[in-house]
Order: sequence, then structure tokens, then C-alpha cells
Amino acid sequence: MATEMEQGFSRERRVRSIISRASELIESTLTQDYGVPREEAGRLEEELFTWFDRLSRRPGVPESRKMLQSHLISMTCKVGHVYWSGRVGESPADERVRRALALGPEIIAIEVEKQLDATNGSDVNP
Amino acid sequence: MTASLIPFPGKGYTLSPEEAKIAAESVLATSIEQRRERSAELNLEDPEQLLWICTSLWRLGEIEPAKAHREAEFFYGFLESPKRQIGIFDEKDYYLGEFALIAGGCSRILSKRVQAKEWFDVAETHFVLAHNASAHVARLAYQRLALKLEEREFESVLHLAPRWADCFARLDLPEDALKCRFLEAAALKETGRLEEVKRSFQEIKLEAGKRRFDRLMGMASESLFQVHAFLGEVSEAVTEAREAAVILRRLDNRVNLAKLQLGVGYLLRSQGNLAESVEAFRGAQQQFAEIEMHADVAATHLVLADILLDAAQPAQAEWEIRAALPIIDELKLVPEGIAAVSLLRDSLRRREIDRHALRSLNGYFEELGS
Repeated sequence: MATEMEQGFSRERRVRSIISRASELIESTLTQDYGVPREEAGRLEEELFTWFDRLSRRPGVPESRKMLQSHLISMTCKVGHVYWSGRVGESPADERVRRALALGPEIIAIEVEKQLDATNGSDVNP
Repeated sequence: MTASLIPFPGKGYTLSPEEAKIAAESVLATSIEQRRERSAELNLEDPEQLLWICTSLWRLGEIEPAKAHREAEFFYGFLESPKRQIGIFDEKDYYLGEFALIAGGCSRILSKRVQAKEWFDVAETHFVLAHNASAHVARLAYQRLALKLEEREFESVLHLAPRWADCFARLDLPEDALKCRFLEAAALKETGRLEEVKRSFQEIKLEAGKRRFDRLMGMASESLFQVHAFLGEVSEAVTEAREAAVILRRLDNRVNLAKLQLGVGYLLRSQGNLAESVEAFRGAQQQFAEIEMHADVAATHLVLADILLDAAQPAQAEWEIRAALPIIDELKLVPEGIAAVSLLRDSLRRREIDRHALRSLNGYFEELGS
């Protein structure tokens, strides 16, 4: 029987691999889709990875890479969206950011995930 | 969850997973009374530590459910009031939901059904605001379904369990899906289609074994033991009981070990070994008492009373019933069996135990032992 430690290692490997594959895309989502300044985006990215690592250890979280990855992307888009919600009275000048805010984080997450799947191709095992 | 519900992250040092695991053990070893005063020193707001505490409490729920309930209640209260900034993004809502769910799950194990329902409602108010809300709401539905089984709402369990199993499968949560199939098989047991039930539990045990869901494998083995015993398949029953005991002991699952011991009592009784069955039931009762499962203690008193009547010991039987009734009153158990309780109480006054009322009450309690 697999020990808890073995299961932990396998989870950790999966999480690290998802983070390393998604890292670049997450940064570009925050900076380009949501117009978050680079420094702030770096800080948020770090928070996202810490959160994601803990999320992967909650009950009720799927084990498959594909479904686990969705959670990271989804939270990234929510965080990008909230970045602007917190700036009362300010509206972004960038057309791409305006589009992301108009469509909402759920739609943007679907687009980002598609991009990620295309980038990773057949490497993304369910 | 809508994006506007996500607070921006708080700052500050967070324990590493390794540090948090050790620290969580030390927090749980500190008395609840001391914890609030030492909350800063104990890092009670640390999200990494809270995660470990949740994991520990789920485990503790099957070892000492009353203790796990008190702990979950404490952490829920601590996080809820005064308002605190806990963790990042959705973490506070998640932890509040999780502690409420643990408190509800433990209340259910302790047969405190009203309390369990209240905790489940509270958990829901937090989970809907947390990330991955659909999975958490489904986990809540599982607990509510298990409660329905204990309330003997078998039709409802048979109707809903396969649907939730399918839902969990689609959420890629195979263990939860299998747990729903387990509830369905347990409800089916009441319909008397025991051969079908046996096959279901065998499939669940096999699947749990393949996927290394040890807890579920132990519980399926324990249920198979009961089914074999009902069918009079003694040697198969004994083999399953041994297998279940090995798994449950390894997991230190005291709740199910006590239920297994109760099953041994029923098996011995069905074979006509009254003296040995009384001993087995007393052993189970002792185990239930040690882990504060008072409803099960009361149920075992009633079973013992029935056996003692068979053994022509009416005075002893009366004593057992008198021991059970205050617990039934206090915990407001078997509301659906209130007439039987009343008949039994009247018969005690007449010093002539109403056997029919006693057996009817035993029937209401059966699900506690399954």
C-alpha cells in the first residue's frame, strides 16, 4: 500500500510540474490580460503558487493534473479581475484589459487554459 | 464564487509545511482553555497550520469523535470571531466551512442529529464563498445523505446516492463517489436483498483496495461481515471480521472497531451463544463509552435487555432499559420511535417489559450499528 509519504511526494511533484508549466502563462495573463504592473504581478504570482500548493492538499480537490491545473488558472483570472475591482473609479486604458474585465474571469480562464493545453500539447496527461 | 469576493492577500510569515505539521500537533496538545490566550505564540491564524489541523481532526473524528467535535468547534469559533484576516484568497471561507463540516460530521457520528444539521447549514454558508465550491457542496451532500441513512430514510438514500456518486465521479473525486455507493449498499441492506447487497459491498471493497482507500476498505469489510452473519455464513463472516479488524486497528479507527465488536455480539447471539454474546456486547458498549458515543451505549443497553429477557433475567433486563432511557431522552434519539419509548416506559412502571416495544426500539437503533 502506498504510504502517506509516497502520496505526498507524488502530489508535490504534480503541483511543481503544473506550476513550472503554467508559470509563464500566468505572468502574461496578469500583466497583459489584466494589466497588473510587473512587480505587483510577481508578488501575486508567488501568492498564487503558495495558495495552489495548499489547495492541492485540501479534501475535495481532484488529483488529475488537468483538473488541478484548472484551479490555478481560474484563481489567477479571479485575482486579475479583483485587482481592478479594488481600484474604485479607475478604468483601464488598455483594450485587452477592458475586454478581460468585460468578459469576466470565468471566460478568460477558459481561454488561458486552452492556450496552456496548446502549449503543452500531448504532454498534459489527464 | 465571483471575483469580487476574493480579498487581497495579507502579508506576514507563514510556517513551512514541515514546521506547520509539528506545530499543529503541539497546538492540539494544548488545552482549549489555554489556546485563545496563547493564540499568537501558537500561530493559530497560520493557514498552513490550519490545514494540518483539519487533516488531523478528520482522522481524530474516527478515533475520538467527541474530542474532534470540541476541537472543530473551537477552531470555528476562533476563526469566526473576532473577524480575522486568515491566509490568502478564499482560505478563510474554506477553513470556516471545513471546521463546520468536521463539527457536523462528528455530531452525526455521535448521533447528535439536530446539531449535525445546524453545522452542515453553517458549513454551506462558507463553502459557497470558497473556491471549488461545487466539490465542497457535494461533500456536504454526502454528510447529509449519511445522516438520512441514520434517520432510516432509506428510500431517499437509494434515490440520491447514485446521483451523488455520479456527481463525484464527474468531479474526479473517486473516493467520495465510492463512499456514496457504500451508503447506497447500506440502505439496500434494509430492503432484505442481501445477496445483491453482498455483491455491492464486495465490489466496493475490491475497488477501495485497488485505489488504496484503506478506510473505506475496512468499512466495506466490516459491512460484509454483517451481511455474511445475517445470511448465516459464519466462516465467511469470521474471515471478514478478522480482515476488517486488521485494517481498522492499523487506522486506529475506534468508531468502526466498536461497531465491529457489536457485530460480533449479534453473530454470537444468532448462533445461540447468549453468554458469549453478552460479553461481546458489553465489550462494544465499553468501547462506545470510552469514545463518548452515548447513543450507541444506549442502543447496546436495549440489545442486552432483549438478550437478558431471553435468558430469563428480567430484573437485569429492566436495569439495562432504565440505563438507556435517560440517554434516549437527553439526546432526543429516535423521535420516530417516541411511541415505542413511551410503551416501554409504561411497561417498566408495571414491572412487565413490553417486548414488542423493546424490539421496535432496537429496530430504530439498528442504523447506529451499521
